[in-house]
Amino acid sequence: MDDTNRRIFLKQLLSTLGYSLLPSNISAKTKTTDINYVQINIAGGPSRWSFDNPIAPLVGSSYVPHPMIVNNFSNTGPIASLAGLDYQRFKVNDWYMPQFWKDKLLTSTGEVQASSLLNNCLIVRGCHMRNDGHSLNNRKLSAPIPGGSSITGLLADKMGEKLFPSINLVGDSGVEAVAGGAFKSKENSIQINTPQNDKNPLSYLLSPFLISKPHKARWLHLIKEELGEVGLRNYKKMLQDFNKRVTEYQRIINFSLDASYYTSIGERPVQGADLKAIKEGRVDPTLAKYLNYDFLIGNSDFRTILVKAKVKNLAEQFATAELLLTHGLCGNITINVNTVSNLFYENSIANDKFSREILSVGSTQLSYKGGNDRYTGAKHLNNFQLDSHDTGLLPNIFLTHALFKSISSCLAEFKLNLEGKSLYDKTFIHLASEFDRDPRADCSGSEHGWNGHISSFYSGSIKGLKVVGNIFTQSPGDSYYTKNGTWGQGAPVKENGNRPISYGNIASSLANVLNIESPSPNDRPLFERKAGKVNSFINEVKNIDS
Amino acid sequence: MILKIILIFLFSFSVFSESKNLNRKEVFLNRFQLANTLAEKFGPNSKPIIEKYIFSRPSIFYGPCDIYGQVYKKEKDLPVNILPSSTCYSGLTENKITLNATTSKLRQALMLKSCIAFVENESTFNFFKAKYKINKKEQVSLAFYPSRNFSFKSTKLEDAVVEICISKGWQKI
Repeated sequence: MDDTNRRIFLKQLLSTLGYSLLPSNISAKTKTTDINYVQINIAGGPSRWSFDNPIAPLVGSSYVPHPMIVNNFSNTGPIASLAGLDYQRFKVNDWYMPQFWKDKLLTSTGEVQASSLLNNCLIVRGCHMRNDGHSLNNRKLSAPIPGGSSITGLLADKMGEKLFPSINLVGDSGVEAVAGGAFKSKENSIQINTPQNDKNPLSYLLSPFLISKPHKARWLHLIKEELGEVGLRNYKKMLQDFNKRVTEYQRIINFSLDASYYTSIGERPVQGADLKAIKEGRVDPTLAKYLNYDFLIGNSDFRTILVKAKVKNLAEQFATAELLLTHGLCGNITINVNTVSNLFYENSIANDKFSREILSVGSTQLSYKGGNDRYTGAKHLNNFQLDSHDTGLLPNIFLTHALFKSISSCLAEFKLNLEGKSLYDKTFIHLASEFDRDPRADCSGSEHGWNGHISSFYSGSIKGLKVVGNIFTQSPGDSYYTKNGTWGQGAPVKENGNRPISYGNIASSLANVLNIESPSPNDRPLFERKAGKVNSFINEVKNIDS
Repeated sequence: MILKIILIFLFSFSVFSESKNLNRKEVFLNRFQLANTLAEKFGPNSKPIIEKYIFSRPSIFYGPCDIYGQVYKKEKDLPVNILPSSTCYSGLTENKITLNATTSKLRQALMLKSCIAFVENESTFNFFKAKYKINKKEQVSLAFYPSRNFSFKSTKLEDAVVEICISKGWQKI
């Protein structure tokens, strides 16, 4: 072959090979994934300091105390007093977690220690969300790049033969403003949003297949032909199981709302606010610690705030998620947690009877306008504002404990049932809210901690407990309050290129575990799942002095 | 000549080796298109059935809601005129649902329920039979497949109508 012919040959060869470079992501066959993902979303961003944000996780971790980050009444005597509040840690293997984990959780097989959940837990703390805002940050929990593909969407594309590619169990927060509203797939997969706070989300989801007996008999041949095995399943039995499971989860939640079982804070009556002697004008600044956004709570024993409390729809959502997973109907579920509501206020005064004077950053002076109006009662609207700007110290301690104990108890029960079907190793549960909180110095509430998001993960594929991520002992700035004690503001991590962890890192990690493409490909993952086990790429968990 | 054979071989090889990774996605009628088509066939009394099983399920039948339809102008003393297409059943995020529908077991199940309901409702079934002048099963084909015969497995007329109603052929674009 001479030179000219060789050149022509190569030119023609290369032009034909162009066809083999057809973009393979145009309708390419996708592989399926074998991992289930459950996101437990707590929209509002309640404080996590006393739950899964360990502010001093190692034996030698330095931290600066803050009067609002407390979890233990250390005074002796029959009444737990505010003056005795401090922060105590509880050792779980080599880690020092908040005292919450000492609590006993109720399950269908009896009591278990809360820390048993930490046998398979990975906590990423100090994650910087880059911007403030509820909706922006909650939606990022699914779609880390606003407007881009979501974790749930990319996972839905890989759900293969599962009946439901993605399900969003809708709570008080609705759809648009939270993670469920950011659903976006690449291959036109669907997400089903259940009606808000539906009493029977499972029935709603299965309604296309629920056919009455006479109809089923009449049209059986067409049902078989069209739907196959899917049309012939015993959905009636599933719905009966649903009712039983709701009853069980509700029993567990009710136990979780009994404050007398709260370790270190609820074992004895708790000093309440003395509102009898209150006079017009400036009031004792300590009273701000009893503020629950709408009322100054005057319960003589503060624990009684929870005597009639509820967490609406939590039992129904967990029961639905459990049955969807154990029957193989869906492996991509978002649970949206509602707040603790129906709080009991005894002899309380409405917030609008007080004026507030901001004396300095984090320092508020309440003044009473006068009058004899007192409120006693419990109603749905007396609730825990998860966006707890004006949730003072005492309500915050008890209401966060109630919320997270309800969630943890359901999680323990959920885990039990998944283990029974050998599914816990193949399920990755993600507990997330927008961010943690930056507490006020006067203990009247807390602000958004957008640079201190926490994500905790629970799965049989995680062996033991691991905490990663650096935080500042004192905020150097870029937050509401500086020099405000250790609450969880993210600090640079050397292993992450000397930058604080961002949510994109978490999203890429989830993508690794779930075997999907990352919705945030420029952010390196923090962990992966290999041979059925989750391994972390980073080990730093420092408290850094700014 | 040999060169041409080699080139043809390489061309064919590269096309066929990549083509097995390509899956042309089938596009089906979305809820708006289905609603119009079925209402035409089964008459005005079919609308509640269509609304219940098809129109109110945009995440299964696709077809976005109209975000601007949420804003309506109320004339004095006149009823509010909101377009049905504007209803975002589970919130404004439904306006992001795509136009092109795909099929799924959920869609098949709801189509089955709809078609059974059309046949079991005297008014909708009679409308259908009158419109297409149907007395026997063999005439049903024309209602859904005007240019070809549909091969029925059912023997009864009602069963045949449901069978053809749920078939995918006429729902594909």
